[in-house]
Amino acid sequence: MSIIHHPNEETLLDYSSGALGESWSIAVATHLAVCPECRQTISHLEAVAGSLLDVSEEIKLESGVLENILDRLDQEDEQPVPVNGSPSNEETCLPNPLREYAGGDIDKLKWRRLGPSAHQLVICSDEDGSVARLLRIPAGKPVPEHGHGGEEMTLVLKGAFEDQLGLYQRGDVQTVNSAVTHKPFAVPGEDCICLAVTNAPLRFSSLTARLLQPVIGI
Amino acid sequence: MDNVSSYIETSTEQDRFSYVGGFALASRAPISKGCDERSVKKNRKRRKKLGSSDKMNTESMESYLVSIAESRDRNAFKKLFAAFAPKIKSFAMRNGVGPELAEEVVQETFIRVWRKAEQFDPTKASASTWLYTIARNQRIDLLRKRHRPEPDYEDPAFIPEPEPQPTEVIVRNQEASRLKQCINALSPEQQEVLKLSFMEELPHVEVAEKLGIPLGTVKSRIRLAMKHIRSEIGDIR
Repeated sequence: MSIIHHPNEETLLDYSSGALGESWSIAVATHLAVCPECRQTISHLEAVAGSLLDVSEEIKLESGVLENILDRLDQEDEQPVPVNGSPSNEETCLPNPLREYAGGDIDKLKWRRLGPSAHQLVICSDEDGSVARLLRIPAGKPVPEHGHGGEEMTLVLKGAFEDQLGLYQRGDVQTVNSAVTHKPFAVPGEDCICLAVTNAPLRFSSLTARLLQPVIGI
Repeated sequence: MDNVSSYIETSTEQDRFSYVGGFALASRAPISKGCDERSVKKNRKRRKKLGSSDKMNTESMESYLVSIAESRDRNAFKKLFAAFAPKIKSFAMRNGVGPELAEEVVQETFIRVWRKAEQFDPTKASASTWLYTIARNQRIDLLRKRHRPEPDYEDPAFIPEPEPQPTEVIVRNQEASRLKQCINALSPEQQEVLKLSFMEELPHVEVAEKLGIPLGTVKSRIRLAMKHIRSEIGDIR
């Protein structure tokens, strides 16, 4: 598998500084889990941050802070080492941190219907209105043509989708803004499962889809 | 049964290539992070491999972290604290946060330094970079009261990078000083954007607002800065 479409550098910067909201960070972190190339960019960015920390102004600490910490270290040393777990089947595997948020792998998800054939599962909502949701689009089927009230970032987890911007496969990320109207469809062969993050409702072009929107909640 | 054996295969593969760097540093790891026995042992080997032949300065911040990991060295811990705690306090106070809360960030950061020292890999990051990632996560945890999702390098679905060549390891050890020169060589405008991002924790959209410049200008400064850094430090692919 080779990833062709990556998150923007400014999004990677916001992720590495900690300024990126949680919903968006889930998509970035999950992409990073499968993309050594972007992890390289992140480690460059973090190295920049480390250098900036190095030359930061120094503010003296109140007395007693170090002593408090040293006291706590005694308790730390007695803590047992946690055991790692969570084996997974490659076919249905959602990379962490996504699996944690979704509550399991693909075969364990509690999907809700979205329109006549698609399904969704909301996994995170931020205070600023950003929402991260898993989407399942049946093989060969389109998502009704829509525009965006804000930004949309889509990470493919299984299968693939295609629109006028290109073909997106597992690990690929598509970022579109309000200027883009597209009609993505799932590539035939298998259902397309992706993680979509938005900060505003979608704007469907067809009247039927618009009328259904309040009911299906996207 | 098939699933189990394929999992074991994958995880052995990862163990061999596994990545230990900023990403393993989630402060509130959802599933247990790199405290895993295997990664600890592997890191120990890696440090030995580096050992004295690598000419790691015995009084460097990196060597303090290695001493904490290997012998729970409290003197090394105190030296690291003396060097970094005042900087982390000022880092935590950037957004109008009071000194008491900032000291809580310092405290939680150093508890995690002690707890996670075994995950520090001097071939992957400098001490200041490693400390930054821990302090950043504590700032998000304590000040923003938010969870930070991070990739989990022990996860079966994690795709590791190829093991670096020995020459690359040497290059990375020199990275910190080269990086400083490299940052100094950036234009003042590019430096300003990076500083506001990392130190004030501003998203790039707010950096544009704060500087009163178009969003596109901020994006191009970020991209030019990254292009410069990448060409100086190089891509390891």
